[in-house]
This record gives sequence, C-alpha cells and structure tokens, in this order.
Amino acid sequence: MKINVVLRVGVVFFLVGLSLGIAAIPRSDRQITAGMTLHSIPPYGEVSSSFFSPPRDVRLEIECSHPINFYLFNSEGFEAYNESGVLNPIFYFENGSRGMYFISLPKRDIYYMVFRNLLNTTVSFNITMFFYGFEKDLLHMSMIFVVSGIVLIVLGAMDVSRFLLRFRKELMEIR
Amino acid sequence: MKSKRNFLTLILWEFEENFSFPVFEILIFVAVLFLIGFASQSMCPHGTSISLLDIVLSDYLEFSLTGCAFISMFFTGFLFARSIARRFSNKEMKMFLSYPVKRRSLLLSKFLVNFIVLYLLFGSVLVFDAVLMGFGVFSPLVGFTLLSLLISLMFLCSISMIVALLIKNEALSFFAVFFLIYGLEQYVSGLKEPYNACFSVSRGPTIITAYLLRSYYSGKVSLFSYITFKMFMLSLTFQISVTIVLMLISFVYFVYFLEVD
Amino acid sequence: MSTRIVYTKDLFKLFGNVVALDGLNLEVPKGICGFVGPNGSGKTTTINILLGLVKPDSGEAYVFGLDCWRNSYEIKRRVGVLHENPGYPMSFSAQRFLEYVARIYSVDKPRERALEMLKLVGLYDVRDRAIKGFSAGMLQRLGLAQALIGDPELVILDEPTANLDPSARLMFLEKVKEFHRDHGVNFLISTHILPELEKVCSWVSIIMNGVIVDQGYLSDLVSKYSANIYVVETSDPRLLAKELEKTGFVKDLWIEGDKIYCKISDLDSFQRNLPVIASKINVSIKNLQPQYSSLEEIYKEVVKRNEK
Repeated sequence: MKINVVLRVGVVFFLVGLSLGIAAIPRSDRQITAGMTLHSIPPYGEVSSSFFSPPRDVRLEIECSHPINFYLFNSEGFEAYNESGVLNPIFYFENGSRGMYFISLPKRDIYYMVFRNLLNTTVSFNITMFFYGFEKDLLHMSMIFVVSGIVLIVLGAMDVSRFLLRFRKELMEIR
Repeated sequence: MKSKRNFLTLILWEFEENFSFPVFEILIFVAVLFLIGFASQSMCPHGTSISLLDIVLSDYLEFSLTGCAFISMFFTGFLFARSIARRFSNKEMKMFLSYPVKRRSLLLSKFLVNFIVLYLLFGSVLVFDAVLMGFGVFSPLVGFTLLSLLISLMFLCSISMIVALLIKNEALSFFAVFFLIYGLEQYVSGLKEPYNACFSVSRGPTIITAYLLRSYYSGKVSLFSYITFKMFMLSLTFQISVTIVLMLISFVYFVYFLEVD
Repeated sequence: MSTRIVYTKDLFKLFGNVVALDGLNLEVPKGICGFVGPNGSGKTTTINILLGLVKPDSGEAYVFGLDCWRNSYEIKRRVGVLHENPGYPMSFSAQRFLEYVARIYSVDKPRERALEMLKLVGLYDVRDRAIKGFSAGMLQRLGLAQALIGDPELVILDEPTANLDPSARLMFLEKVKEFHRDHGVNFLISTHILPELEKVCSWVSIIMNGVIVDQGYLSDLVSKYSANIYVVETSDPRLLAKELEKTGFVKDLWIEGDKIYCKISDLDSFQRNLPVIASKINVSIKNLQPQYSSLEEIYKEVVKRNEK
C-alpha cells in the first residue's frame, strides 16, 4: 500500500487522538486536593474564591461554624452576579453548615465560590475539594481525532484521488 | 534564483527523508502524550494570598516548560543523529556533497528543517497545554513561552548538530547528545546559586519566561519572586551565546574543513 | 594536451601517517578513460580531490581548467559521479529520488527527465518502488541514472561494476558506451575488472602507491609494453626456433611450452618471413601476437616493474 498524503494525515490525526485519550489517563489519575482552611466570613458578609478546573468531577466537603449560603458560579455566572446580583449558579446550597457534595463541572473554566453569611456573627469554615475522574473535553477531542483519523486512513488506503480520476475519465468516455 | 530553488529542493528533500513515515507520526504521538499526559494541571488556591494567575502560571512553567526541555533533548539528539550522523555512515553525505550544492546551504537546510518541525510540534503542544489551562492562544503566557522555546530549542539543536557532525555515527551521536546534556545538568546543579538555575537546560527557559511574565504582569503576580534581572540575563545570554558559537563552529567546520573520504 | 579534461600536478595527500598521494600527475582526455591500480593505491582519494570532497595537502588539481577545491561548485555542475557503494535515501522511490537530483541540477522539467533516465537505464517499471527493495544491479543502474541526469560533460564512476554479476557488468558497460556514443559524455572509470574496461576505454591511467606509473592511449601502451616481443604458438617450437636464430631480424628468443618468445628488430621482415620459414620446415603457426596485448597483461607488467 502506497503511503500517500491523505493516509499520513489520517495517521497523524489518529495518533493525536490516541495520545490525547491515553494522556487523559494519567491526568485523571491525579486526584487533586485543595482547600481553604479556617477562613472566616464577617457578619452579613461575603467571601469569594476562585479556581480553574477542567470538566471533572468534584467532591466538596464543607464544615462551617454556622449555617451559610454557598454558590458555585462559572465565569459567566459570576460576571452576571457581580454586575447585577443575578443568582445563576451551577451549584448551591442555602442554610447549610456541613456536608459532602458531588458536582460535575461542565466545562474548562474559572469557577467562583461565593460564601454568604446571613448571620450577625463571624463564621469560620473549612472547605476541601477532591478532583477526580477523566477530563471529559479531552476524551471528546480524542474521540473526534481518532474517528477522523480512521476515516482519512481508509480514504487514503483506497487512494480516493486515483479512484475519482478514473471515475471522471469513465464518465467522460460515456458522454 | 537557481540557488534559492536549490535551497528549497534541499529543504523539501530533507523534510521528506528525515520525517519519512512513520517517524514524524511517532514524534507527534510521543510529544502529545508526554507533554499533555504529564503536564501541569490547575491547582486550587490554598489561601487568598496567592493569586490564581500565580498558581496556574507557576504550575505551567514548572511542569510544561521543564517537561518540554527534557523531551526536546531526546528529540533533537535523535533527529540530528538521523539527519547528519547517519548520512555520513551510510555514505549519503558523500553523495550529497558530490552534487552541485553549496555546503552551507546543505547544512542550513538540515538545521532549519529539524528546528522548524520541532518548534512547530512543541509550540503547538505547549499552546494547547496553555489553552487547556484556560489561557488564550494570544495570551502573554503563550507569547513568552514560544519565545523561550525558540531560544532553548536553538540551543539544543546547535549542540545536537555539532555532536552529529563530529561523531558521524547515528547511535553514538544520539547517546553523546543525551549524556552531554545530562552531564551538563549534573555539573550545573552543583554550582552555587543563581548559576545552577541559569545554566540549566531545563530551568533556563523557565527563568526566562517567568521573568518576562512577571515584568508583564508587574505587581499582579509574585511569580518566582527570587528570579532577578541578573538571572534572566544570565540564562538568556548563556543560551544565545552558546548557540551562536556552536553554530559558527559547525558551519565553518562543515564548509571549510570537512573532508569526506 | 589541449583536450584533457582532468589534470593534476604533483598532487600530495597525507592521512595521518599514510601517504595516499605522492606527487600524482594525472591526465584524462575526452573519451572513456580507465583509472586502474591496486587496492589502496589512491584512486578513490584522487576522485575525492577532483570532486572537492578532500583538500590536497599540496599540488594542483583541475577539472575543465577549474581548481578542484576553490571551484568545486562550478565543477560539480558539469560532472556526474557514482561512488563506490553509494548511499541512497532508501525510503524514496526511484522516481522521487531522481526528480530531486534533477532539481538540484536545475533541470528544466525534472519529472520528465527522471522518467526518461529511468527508461534509459531500464528501471521504468520499478519507478514507484522504494529504493530499499532494489537489487545490487538495480542500484548500480540507478546510480548511473543519477550521475547522468544533470546532462554532465564528465561522469566519474568509482568501481561501478564491483557488486554485479558478469551479465549485469556487461549491460552496465554497454550503457556507458551508448551514452558516450549518443550523447558525447566523457567517462572516467575506476575499476579492478580490466578485461571489461578494455572493451570500452580508449585511455588508461595506472596508479600505484599514490603515483601515476603510466598513462596513455591503450594502443600506445600495448606497443610500449610489448617491447617488440612477439609470441609464436607453433606445433614444433624447437625446430622453428633453430631456423629463426639464423635470421637477422630476431635478436633473441626463448621457448616456453609450445610458444616461442621472439625479441625482434624488424617487425616487417619478421611478419613477412615467418610464414615462409615455417612452411619450408613443415611447421604450422597456430597463433602470433604481441607479448602484452591485453590491459590486464600490461597492468601486471607495470605493477611488476614498479614493485622492483
């Protein structure tokens, strides 16, 4: 089988897809743990923090001295919240003081956590996040490359250009 | 005009031969797998004193750039061993030098093809890595990374080229590059600060990028605050001057002194 | 010599302690020329100097009147070369390789020229096959094609038939003759296989220990080394020898087997009178020829004389 350009491009696409898919494995293996310990929210106040994350699963563990409201925004939602106070979080709980929450982050973005204290006393809290699972966008990208690669490899192997040329010649002869 | 066409022919020939199937494909596979699979990932802030930008940037520089420098050592050694050393041992270089090609064009074509392909390969992967971390394609991180990659890759390519030219054996040349750079790293790590970082093949590019980023974001990030202007200049000057010296020696040797019997 | 295309004067080259060339004075005129010598005599070093691959330590070397080291680029535009055991880009097809070579020689239509050369050397049917799948004979033909593709005035062939079987060697040399006859291409062939070289070349340069020990047109060399010694193969050498001793035109003679070696002073008289003498004493002449009539014999004689 002659190695033509289409075949080579197909192999490149396939291998890029394969490598992205394989690369997703060690990346998913890393369970990143991060947190904020012994932070405090002033009376009737608000504290926010941000983190960047790929679309992974997160386990959130929160421990507070008093009940608080918690909102998790993506960057768009946080911008809207800042500008006009519109509450459109991707996750939230209200009047909670302790809990374990499982969230699936939808996309690669900066996420903002907003801790709101509705009481007249200072609230201290601990929050721990465990990131686990595959990065979904990486897997999707991998699949797209692999499938495109396979299609191009098949086309290249069939030597489509020659086939089309021969088909065109025959068509002209018929005419 | 004829010499320009000749040069282009040499470039195309070199690309087609040195990156014949499946060499190019395997290089892409390994580069993407290594640089994306074992690259940095975002970390959440542990407190509010360190900004998100700081964390992500330092993460990127620690993992991605350093990983890139490490893997490019193998790639440059392999490609120049294949492109230059092997051509001597299989007598292809003798055939080339018997054609009406200028020696400087021949060597330059080999250098450029390998350098450009590696630069595009690593550059794309590093840009992709930066995008995975939420930075835009035209962000300062990407710009300064590509600049630092240009300098460090030229540095590694010049070392690989001169080793391949002198050794003229593919396997020996590859291992010589590896051990030379590894040996350099070991030696440099024993120097006192800041020289142990500035003269390091893996940390040098990080210093250059970190300093430029800090200057750009002045005040916003306390990224690698220990990096001074002196360290930045040392790293930059070391890599650029070594590149220039080695390239000059390679070209002078190849054009005026090389004898092929 | 005004028609000489290669000329060296007192060429000297040292590799470490080894003297490769020791005052080489080579002359190569137009035509098909042989360059012969024992292993390690300096043939390849000479060729490398002519192509600007090696710089001589002293002396001069010119091709087409141009200095070999300073003007190597201009020389190479007019010269094609096939080295001994050359390296090819094995992943390329024959056609692709020749197209690239044609482009380097700035040929106008490289693709057409490559196909034309492939047809000429009989590799058209395998033009798309990767070079790594070629046999030794095919590689040599490919080598000839790449040497000729740039329309050179001189083609240098270093041991072109070393890896070939006898029929392939004959075919190769036929092609060489054809190119010289039809396109006027000059050849300089360095080889050990003298009987075949003799069939194609008109001029021979013999090198030993880095020095040209003799060179000239083949016919002149034959005359020179024969030294007027003729070999008579006969049915009764003793009887014929007795009669020849009485003549004035045979200075000396000796017998080896059924051959009489005659050193003659007058070739015309000898050739005229020998058959008469033989028929008088009823002796038949089976063969009459100069002592050294082949290149191989001349070469052996030259080597023997210079080894003393």
